[in-house]
Amino acid sequence: MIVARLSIRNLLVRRIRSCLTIGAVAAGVCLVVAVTSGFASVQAAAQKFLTQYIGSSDAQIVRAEGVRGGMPESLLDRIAADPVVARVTGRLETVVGNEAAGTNTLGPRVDLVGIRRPQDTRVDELVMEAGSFFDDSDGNEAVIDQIAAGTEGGLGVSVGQTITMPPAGGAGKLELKVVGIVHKPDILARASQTIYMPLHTLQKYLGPDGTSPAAGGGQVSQILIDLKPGTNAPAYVKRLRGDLAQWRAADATMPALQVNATLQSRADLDENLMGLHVLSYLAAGVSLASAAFIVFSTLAMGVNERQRTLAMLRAIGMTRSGVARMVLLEGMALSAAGVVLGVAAGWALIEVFHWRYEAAFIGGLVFSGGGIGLAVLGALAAAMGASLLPAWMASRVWPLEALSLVARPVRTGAPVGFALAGAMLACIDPVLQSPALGAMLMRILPGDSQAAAQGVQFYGHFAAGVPGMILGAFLLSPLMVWLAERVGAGLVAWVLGLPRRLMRDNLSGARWRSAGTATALAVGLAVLVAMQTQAQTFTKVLKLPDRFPDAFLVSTKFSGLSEAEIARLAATPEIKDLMPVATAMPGLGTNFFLVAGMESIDPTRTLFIGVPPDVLPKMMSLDFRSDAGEELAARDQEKAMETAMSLLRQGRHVLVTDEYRQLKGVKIGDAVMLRGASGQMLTYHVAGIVWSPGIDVFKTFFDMGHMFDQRTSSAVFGTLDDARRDFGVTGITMFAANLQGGREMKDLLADVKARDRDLELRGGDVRAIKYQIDSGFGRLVGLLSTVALAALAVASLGVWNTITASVRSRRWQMGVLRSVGATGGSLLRMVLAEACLLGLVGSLVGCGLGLELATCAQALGTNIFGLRLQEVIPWGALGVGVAAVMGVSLAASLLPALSVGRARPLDLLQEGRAVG
Amino acid sequence: MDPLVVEHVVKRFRQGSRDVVALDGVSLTVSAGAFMAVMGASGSGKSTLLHLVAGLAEPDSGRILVNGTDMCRLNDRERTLFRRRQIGLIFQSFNLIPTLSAEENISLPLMLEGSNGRAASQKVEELLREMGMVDRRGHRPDALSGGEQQRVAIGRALVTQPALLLADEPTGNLDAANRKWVCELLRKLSREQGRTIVMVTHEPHVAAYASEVAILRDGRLVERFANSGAESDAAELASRYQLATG
Repeated sequence: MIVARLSIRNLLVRRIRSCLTIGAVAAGVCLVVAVTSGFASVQAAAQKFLTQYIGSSDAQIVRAEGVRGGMPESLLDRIAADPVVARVTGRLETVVGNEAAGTNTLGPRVDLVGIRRPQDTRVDELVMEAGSFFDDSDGNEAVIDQIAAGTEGGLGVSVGQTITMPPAGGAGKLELKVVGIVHKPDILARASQTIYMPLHTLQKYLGPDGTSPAAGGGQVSQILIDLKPGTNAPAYVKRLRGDLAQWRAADATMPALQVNATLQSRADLDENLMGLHVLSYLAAGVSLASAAFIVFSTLAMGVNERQRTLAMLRAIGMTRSGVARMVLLEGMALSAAGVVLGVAAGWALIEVFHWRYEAAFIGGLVFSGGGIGLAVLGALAAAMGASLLPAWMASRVWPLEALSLVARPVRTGAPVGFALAGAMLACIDPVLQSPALGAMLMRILPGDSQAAAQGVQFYGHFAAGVPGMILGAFLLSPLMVWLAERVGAGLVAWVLGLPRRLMRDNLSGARWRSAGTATALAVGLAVLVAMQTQAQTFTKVLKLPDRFPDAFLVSTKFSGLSEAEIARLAATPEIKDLMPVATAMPGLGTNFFLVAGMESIDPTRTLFIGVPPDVLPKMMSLDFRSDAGEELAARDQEKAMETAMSLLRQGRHVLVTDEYRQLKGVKIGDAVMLRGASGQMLTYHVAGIVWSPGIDVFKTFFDMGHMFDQRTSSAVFGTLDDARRDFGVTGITMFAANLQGGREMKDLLADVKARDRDLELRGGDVRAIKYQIDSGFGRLVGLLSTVALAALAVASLGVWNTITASVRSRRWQMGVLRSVGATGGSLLRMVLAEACLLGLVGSLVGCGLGLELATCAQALGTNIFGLRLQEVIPWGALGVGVAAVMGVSLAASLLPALSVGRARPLDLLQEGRAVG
Repeated sequence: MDPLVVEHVVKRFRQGSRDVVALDGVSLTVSAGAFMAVMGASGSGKSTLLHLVAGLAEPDSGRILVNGTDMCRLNDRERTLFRRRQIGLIFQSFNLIPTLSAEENISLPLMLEGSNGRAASQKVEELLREMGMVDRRGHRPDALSGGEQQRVAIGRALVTQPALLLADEPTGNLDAANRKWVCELLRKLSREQGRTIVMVTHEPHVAAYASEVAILRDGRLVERFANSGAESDAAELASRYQLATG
């Protein structure tokens, strides 16, 4: 009881310090609650999007392997005939560009959705702002979303008015009467506006006579199936796949189709969001780590200042464990108060976001139970951990110190012991990720030793490696402080006009307080540095080669361009060279990702790019590599190119990227198993290994559009014929083009599009595409970096606390300095100088820790994926981070410095001696 | 010119809801080379007087002239610099900087002044010898005894060759031997080097070393007399002190 009372009293005596510490913990907890709840809300929004706007059903049928195109509408009746089927809905969806919509007030992308009415009752679940849905599958009526209807970025129409669609592949212009305006979440509607129209109307609009499958007539692009209650959905899906295969076998015109079970889709969605999930918890961990170091600093300060009091308690009979418990209780009390405030603040923060950005929370606001639990338990556990060392220090106070008038010994030696321990902890992950240890693990572990070894390295990184690095940085900090004082103090003192000798030992004399503060600053900086290093290393590979197509042209025509249309496009005067590009996403034959339980990280598909082999070398520079990934000599390049093209022409051969080689460990001539459109496994062989930076640009651009449904592991190049024969590609929608020179790219593209509107082309300069990728990626990294900066902000509370306490504990000493002639200004500069040194240590430790984290993450990636990337040090980000740390440190010290600078000498002297 | 002139100085403090008059119109003059002991009971205002003279606080009214400079007309920075160069302070609790060695503590005012030259080093060396601290020059305060710490503090007070040396109960935390050493040193500084010293003490046998004694009671100067400076006169001094303070 007395222990608890003493703990609480001590916290109340130092109210400001206690409040600042509670504030730091609360800020950390608030971030955790807000970030994890934000993620949970994103997940709910994605699920709702999946349900409401894509369509929720027990099963979904689409073209196989990601190929664009339609399937016969007649399938709907065949599927509906199954007694377990409750409802079948067919929809035809296509995307048109801005120009195709006929007005420049619509957005660049418009979704046209053809629905069967009255059968399609899913749309009845949508929220209508005006009017209602049409009731026929034919007729010239439309329902548009609120953004398409509005005056800003829309058509400016209301119910009863008419919109005109320009000619497409079908029967010319189309006039539609708006009969309803549906509400679509703003954030989605601004990205892509939607026009619902009767299915047959859309079919006729897209196709010449409304019935030609090749042109989209009589077609649907997806079939949604709802089963009767109690039906075994997986069993039905299996049976349906068999039925589809049989129907296709009997009808050569039927394209290859695939059946997706919705449960699987949702699981896929969750998997794809797993990365964000992990990131949100990582962000949480960073905030809590920062807060933990602040708690540590506060308690260490308290123990430091109360040496005499603690000694007296020991002298009058309190045991060591009693003293230790007192300090532990202080830590837990600070943390508990911070948790209560933090959860409430996190709740309030996310509610404010919800109120302000309601449009983004289409799934509603979801509080993450896991996140709140992590915040509460994490903060308490962190505080407990942070209290251990101060509690131990307090228990070591000798009772005789209470009686001594002699000044307490100031430790000025280098804290080598702790530094060695810290260095050992920091070495855990580098050793764990080393090839030597990997090889040793593979020798000694039983079973699938490679998978087991990778498992040890993977889980060990997160369980021991990363914590070891952070704790190691903390234990190294006292030595860094000591070194900074000896090496940097002179310069800082000279710059600020102070006697150099006065700067020594002020920080290292209270080493744990300084170490805790420096580490709190370092944690946020380390995360920033690690993220930026990873990001810049990754984007570095996204660069353009010497020879690359001038532009990519994309046709938004529903089924793509036919051979005749391709020939017409190639004959366009503005186009010098044209390369049709077929894309498909066949499944991979083997799951090569060996770490148990983490299959979700590895995409199970690859991007197959089918091109004419004769045109490919003209359009893109291909740098052929050996089986070991080494660049070939110039004359060998030519030979490799000839051989590769010759093999490609034979069929069932692919060029693989060097990245693919590293991932899969393939050599020239090796077999690569790809799943064909009919589900059969096909054997392809490697015709060559190429390095072409542009491929990464291409693949990333392609992948970014498939963030939520399918990601691909890598890209392989085959032929158009292979794509058509094996993966069900029919029409071609993408083209690489070299354009006639002498004019602006933009104008050239506009001419091409204007010349042949029927082709519904959109185009992009490759550099613009790369810029788009870089910008998008940069925005994502920037968003993630704000987490790190938020951790720095949390740390700033701790820095303020530490420097305030440091100044307070030395007020008498400063009184002595004033009494012998130090001016108030010199005391102010002395406090700022200490803050400079603390910031310097925080910067050094943070940069070191960040680079180590990034390097170990790279090594982990190499061990797990086999991918080696040249690490890029983000000097710019480092500079910004260091400036932020120094800024935080100086800003936090300003008030204490001014306070002591202005204080009267006698007041300072009368604060009491700091003998102990 | 007298090194110290105090004219009608008044100083009040606020304690809770009431005003306490620490000094009530005190006037005195200390001539060059004098060793004055200011005596009084606890709360008599003797330490307050010392603090005002040192420029550590400002009087509410009156004037304090140190070496002809009116301390009350100086701003904080000017007072600080003046104190650094013209006044040496010795405290009861030594007040050494714990992270500096004995030598560094002595040279602290010179460090603040930016004096790093040969002359400064020589001065410090002399003081180390005078204080008998040559062998202990590299030790920090935690490794020094109380007497040694006070010697270092005295050395620090003398390093700028100040016009005035102020000592606030300099023997309060010392044993008899060290007390005697300090008192004899102060007397020697006064007699042989002509230093002007004002020492606050409540111990008659310490005040006995001074050449003059001033007694304060309730913030007023109630008695002032010359003293032989011999320790043997401590008893007589004690009687007069008793009488004066009641």
